[in-house]
Amino acid sequence: MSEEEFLAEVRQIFNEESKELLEDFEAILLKLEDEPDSEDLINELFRTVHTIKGSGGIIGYDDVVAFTHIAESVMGRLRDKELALDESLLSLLLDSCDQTRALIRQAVDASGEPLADDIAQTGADLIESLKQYLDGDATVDQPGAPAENPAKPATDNADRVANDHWHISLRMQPEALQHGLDPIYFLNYLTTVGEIVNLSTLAAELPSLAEMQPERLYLGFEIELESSADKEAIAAVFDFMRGECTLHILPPHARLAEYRSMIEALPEENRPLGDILVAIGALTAQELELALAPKPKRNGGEIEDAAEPVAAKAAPQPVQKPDDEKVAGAGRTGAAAQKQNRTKDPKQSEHHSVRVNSEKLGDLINLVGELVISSAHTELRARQTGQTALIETTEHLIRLVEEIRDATLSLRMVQIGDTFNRYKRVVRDTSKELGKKIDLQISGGDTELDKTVVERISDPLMHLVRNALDHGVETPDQRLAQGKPQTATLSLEAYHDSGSIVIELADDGQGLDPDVLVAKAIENGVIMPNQQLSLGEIHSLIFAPGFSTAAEVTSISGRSVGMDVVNRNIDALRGQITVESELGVGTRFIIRLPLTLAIIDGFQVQVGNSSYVIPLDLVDECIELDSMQGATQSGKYIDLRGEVMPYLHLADVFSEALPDQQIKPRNNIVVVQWAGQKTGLVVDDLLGEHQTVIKPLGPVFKNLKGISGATILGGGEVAIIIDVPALISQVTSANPNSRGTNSIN
Amino acid sequence: MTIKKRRGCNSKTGRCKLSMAGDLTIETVAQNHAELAKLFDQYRHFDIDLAALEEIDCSGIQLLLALQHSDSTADKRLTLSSAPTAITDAMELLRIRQQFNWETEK
Repeated sequence: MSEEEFLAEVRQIFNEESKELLEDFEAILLKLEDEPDSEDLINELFRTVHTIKGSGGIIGYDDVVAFTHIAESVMGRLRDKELALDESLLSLLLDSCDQTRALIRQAVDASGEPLADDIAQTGADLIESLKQYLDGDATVDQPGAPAENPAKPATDNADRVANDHWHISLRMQPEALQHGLDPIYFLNYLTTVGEIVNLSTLAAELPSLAEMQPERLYLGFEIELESSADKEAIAAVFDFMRGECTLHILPPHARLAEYRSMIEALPEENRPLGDILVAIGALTAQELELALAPKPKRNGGEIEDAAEPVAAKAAPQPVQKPDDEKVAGAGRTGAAAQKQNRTKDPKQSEHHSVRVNSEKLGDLINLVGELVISSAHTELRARQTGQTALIETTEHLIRLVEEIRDATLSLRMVQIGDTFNRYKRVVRDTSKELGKKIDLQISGGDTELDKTVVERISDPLMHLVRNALDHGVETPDQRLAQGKPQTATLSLEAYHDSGSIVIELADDGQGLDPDVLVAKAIENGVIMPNQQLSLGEIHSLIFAPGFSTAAEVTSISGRSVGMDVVNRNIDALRGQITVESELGVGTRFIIRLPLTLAIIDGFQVQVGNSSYVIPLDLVDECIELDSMQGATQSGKYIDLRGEVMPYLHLADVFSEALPDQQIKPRNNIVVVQWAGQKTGLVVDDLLGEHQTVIKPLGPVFKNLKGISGATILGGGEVAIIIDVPALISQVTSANPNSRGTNSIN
Repeated sequence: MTIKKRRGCNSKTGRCKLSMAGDLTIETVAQNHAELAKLFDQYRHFDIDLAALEEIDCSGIQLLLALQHSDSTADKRLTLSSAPTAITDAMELLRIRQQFNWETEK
């Protein structure tokens, strides 16, 4: 593999990983909004950003690294309880998350090109805001947290060490060698920016020969460097191992407090380390004594905690540059915490999964589809031979194929929860923007559905959520006036229902006003003024193209290209969207989606001379259309145990000729149910279950109603898969009286 | 890396003469670690000729340092000889050359 290919692959991995990490990033922040004091969450947040920065650094995404470094530093202060997480900081961090995402996207899409102006500008603004938290101007006045020490400037003046060399302290991760990072290389490279005046190789951690693991790195380095380069340039030497090391770079004549905090942050015992620093001339003996002396009580927490920002300010470089006080930034609370962090790295411990290219998965599913078809063929042939043993073997084979099919399809199943969680952010931001109070309740996040479906439903769903926020929910004042609680509730729910996934989005807002809808529809020419529509149909008008009821267009929704696009997207997924609403009480959108797009269990029926397949999950029961009911052919309803059920002849729908004018022994009705609506489909013969690999029909047939695809039967002939929802809506719309009506003025 | 026992090894006196050749790097150290540890158990004095070494990395340095450290802790003795410049340069860089006993030039 050439280096370029390798890099491309690493980039790809980083790209995918960072997507997950950014989702985590956002999710953690949103969780933090509910429990701002959770240390676990803050630690997790820190680790997440640290990982993004680290892996970004390895690939050389400098913009990403520079930005996340600042964000990480702020989070470091959060973790060390130097900052309290308040509303504004949370928003800032959420914005930082977006910015990181934008930077990564830019880096991946247009690697090497300069940053787009808007991204750069946003970045600069954010860094400015973040810096305020770093500079200690915006510290906590939270009880218990260490207050910013007013005496700090006093320590600025004296306290400088005599050492006129840069001091660099380098501790690499034990795995660095395995990752191909050899300190010797970096030290050699360091000599290009300055002269290594003195150096101490710390081997205290090195175990005996028998115990040592050759792949682990046990050495640490304390370096005195004479260089006219600035801190940036020195830190750049170690760029390539960002995230793999803890680096302290102290300028010539650094403050003693910086040495003090460095000594404490390093994993070694303070005294021997201090002696080493004296030995290489970093500190004088007196300076060491001062540095190791117990700190004054009152300033106890402060000197240590504030050391980093002090150091950052002391560094004689432009402030705009990232303070590479610690490139890895992980050493702040000492080695113990750092080691703990490493072992807790969620990427290593939690994800026991294998990344598979989705193309490969697609190929596998296609193959399984072929396998299903060919096993059906085999079964058919076996039956024709009449050999019991062969038939039994094939039946066993079929069972196995079914299991393989289910297992393969489940590979593509993902929980919808991640998608739902994304809306938390939308709800949060939008409600702020609109000045509304909205509580998002999510349930059924563990419901699984096909990844493709999840991906393609996410945008339409987002649209619905925004719509609900913008138009559905009233302002707090309006709500109070109507006697509703000030905070509106938006609920997002997913569950399984007869072979499909149902996603419900409900708000307790103002609901749809039928009069407004009708007036608008007439105005836009969607319906005729004298048309009679049921309430359900009126509500469904919002899905008509070019229909927007919003009096004013806001930045969030109302550009009149919403709902029909949503409807089309869901249609394309073979799904269905319906809306229920009550004026003043709320609106509920119900989206039904098929579980998968590829293979289903079908129920094969004979109509005329052709075979049709009805998705088995939708089949409720099969009954005989007895002669009594069959005789009253004028009606389109039968009495199903006291329930009125519409039915239709599939032969009529698909214009199938009756087979040979023979008198049929019985007519069968397959009762199908979709979205709570039952309909009977009259067929000539019931052929039983059939594993159905859905083959999409070509674009030529895309306007055909009532057909959702085709499949190949065991014998090689083609069977049409019936689009039950479409047929049901055909039946119900042909009988407008089946639901409550609403007259139009 | 290859490790060869040179003539003059004596398990009674505990003297072990070795020569190392090739690269003393992470892969080769890992390959030879077990063998070296075994030798280390058997003998007390080690004379290692580094003349045929070509390259060393931090893993190799650690190996030599670990051998050297056992000087005091396990009453062993390590003497190095004839290191080529590639090796001495790395040792100089890390300021550890003086930590080793070098066979005095003849």
